[in-house]
Amino acid sequence: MRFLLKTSYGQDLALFRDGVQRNCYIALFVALLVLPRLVPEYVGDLSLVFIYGLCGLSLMVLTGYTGLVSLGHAAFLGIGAYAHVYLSQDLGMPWIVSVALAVTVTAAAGVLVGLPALRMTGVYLAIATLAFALIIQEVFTRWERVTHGLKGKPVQKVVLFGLPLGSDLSFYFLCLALLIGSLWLTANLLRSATGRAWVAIRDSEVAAQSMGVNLAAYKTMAFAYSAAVMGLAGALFAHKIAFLAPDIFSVLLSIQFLLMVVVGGLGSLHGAVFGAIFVAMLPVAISQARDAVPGWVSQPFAVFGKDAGSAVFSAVDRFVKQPGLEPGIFGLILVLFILFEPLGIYGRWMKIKIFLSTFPLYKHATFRRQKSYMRSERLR
Amino acid sequence: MSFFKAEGLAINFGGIRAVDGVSFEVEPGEVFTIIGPNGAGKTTIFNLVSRIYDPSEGRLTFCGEDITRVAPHEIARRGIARTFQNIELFEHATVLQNLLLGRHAHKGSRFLEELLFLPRVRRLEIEHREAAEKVIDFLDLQPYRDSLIINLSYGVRKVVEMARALCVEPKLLLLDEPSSGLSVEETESMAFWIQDIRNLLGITVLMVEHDMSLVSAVSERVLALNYGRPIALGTVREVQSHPEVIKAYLGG
Repeated sequence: MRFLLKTSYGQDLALFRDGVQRNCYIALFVALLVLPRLVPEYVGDLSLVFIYGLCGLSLMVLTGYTGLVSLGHAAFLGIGAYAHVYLSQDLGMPWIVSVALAVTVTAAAGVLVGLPALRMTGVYLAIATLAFALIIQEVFTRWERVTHGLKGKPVQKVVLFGLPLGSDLSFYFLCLALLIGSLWLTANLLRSATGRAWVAIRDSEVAAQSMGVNLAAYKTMAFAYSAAVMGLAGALFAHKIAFLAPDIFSVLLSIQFLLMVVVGGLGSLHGAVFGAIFVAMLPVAISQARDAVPGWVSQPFAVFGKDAGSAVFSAVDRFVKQPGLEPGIFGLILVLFILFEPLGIYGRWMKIKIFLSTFPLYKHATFRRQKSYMRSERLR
Repeated sequence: MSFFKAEGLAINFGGIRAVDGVSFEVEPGEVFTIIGPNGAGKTTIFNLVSRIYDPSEGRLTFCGEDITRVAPHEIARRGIARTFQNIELFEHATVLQNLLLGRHAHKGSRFLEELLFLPRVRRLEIEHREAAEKVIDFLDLQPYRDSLIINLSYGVRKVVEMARALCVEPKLLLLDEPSSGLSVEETESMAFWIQDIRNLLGITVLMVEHDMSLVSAVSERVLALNYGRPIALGTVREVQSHPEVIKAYLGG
């Protein structure tokens, strides 16, 4: 176990706790630089993980840090995506300008949602954002001049400063750079007064208010910032999927984002990234399970004869091939995490680290009190 | 011009008149206490002063300015800080983080500066940290600086909450039942803290309190309430022996 000697106040403001931690992150960064060489066939999937990382970051600021639950973040992703594609392709703006404008437009949409949302908390806010997402999805369908409606809109490759960045590899680095940049900006906010005010709103609105936090202003700011990051993610997402259609930005996607922050671990930037990795891998895991599960389940029944085995196999097979199974699985995972690991994957990661660093002396009670994590949510 | 003045303060919750025509003045540098049986409207007065509730009638003036309609988050900036009866700390943050939030009224950095964490933001953060450390020194909280609030005992939490209010650098400190839930020894040390806050920091204290030993140890003047109405105002001894007060507490 390492003990930290603090010798200046500035040390508490550093992004990395100590040299060891900084070196770990540098090593991770180098690993991400060489990763495309090691697994070239997964480069496309990895850039999707980075984009999901941005989405997780966006919702983490709003839900994990400010305590405002949103079930409509796919709408912001859609606004960012459509705005970017419209501005760059239909109006012919340079890539960087169009992304910047798309981020601004999405942030403005965030403010518009944030303003009425100020009076709502908890479940009511979730419902309001859900309604917003449904309305926006309808707008995507109807506003054909901009979005091409249900016909969909093909998206061209990235061209940055006249440089075509169309290949999967350059897109990978673009996504990585933007994710790291956004993580840095967000970490900056979180270590200064604004971030503290957000966390204060999450934990006790009345106390935050009497310490001088303007609740309306900071909640709106959280919405705007969260939407802005989502807008950036949307612009990249548009290039990633190469074809925009309104049904992509569905409620199911919003629920996946929520899944991301809860499973990753509410209230930590690590959690956003862990959650993104988890959610990006989940469909792969589900599709593999679909092939494997009928075999596993029917195997024990084979002892009752071949007919019994194949009957069970086909019954289970029919069940797992149902198209609507994914939302159910997402929901189940969400509930299980909230019940058994409220701090998410990040919480588990912390426990393993502490277990190893204190090895024979680990106390089971160290995390006893973690369940009351979001006090304000519990009271509502 | 008085330091803090409430005139004809009243609030209705539906048909209930929780506070009804309460007037009092607090002089600079004194410890003024509001007492009364449960439900007398003491905490409601605090919530009116910190602007969580809007008064139905009456006026609040502080340092010569009318604060009756000031936004609740402006109150801290004007120099009024408070604690809560049931402790409203950020439980999953450390003591230090709680105190730093107390510095919010002195924020001084803008969003874009913070986004890039410019040198000015770093300097401001260190200034806030120094101010918080002064309060930590003042209230002897050094052993708890980095512990999470949920791991602290109730008595320490009470002191931490007071420390957070002191980080606002208030001119007027509102303490809502500083001794509730404390042992006899802890109540005694609370009395010393309150005296120190008044004598060494020169902060005026307005408090709600039940424990008469604490009240008589620190307070100059006492206002007794019953059913939202003032029944007696004067020194501790005067109020304690006032027939209306005895009747309110003992019945009859």
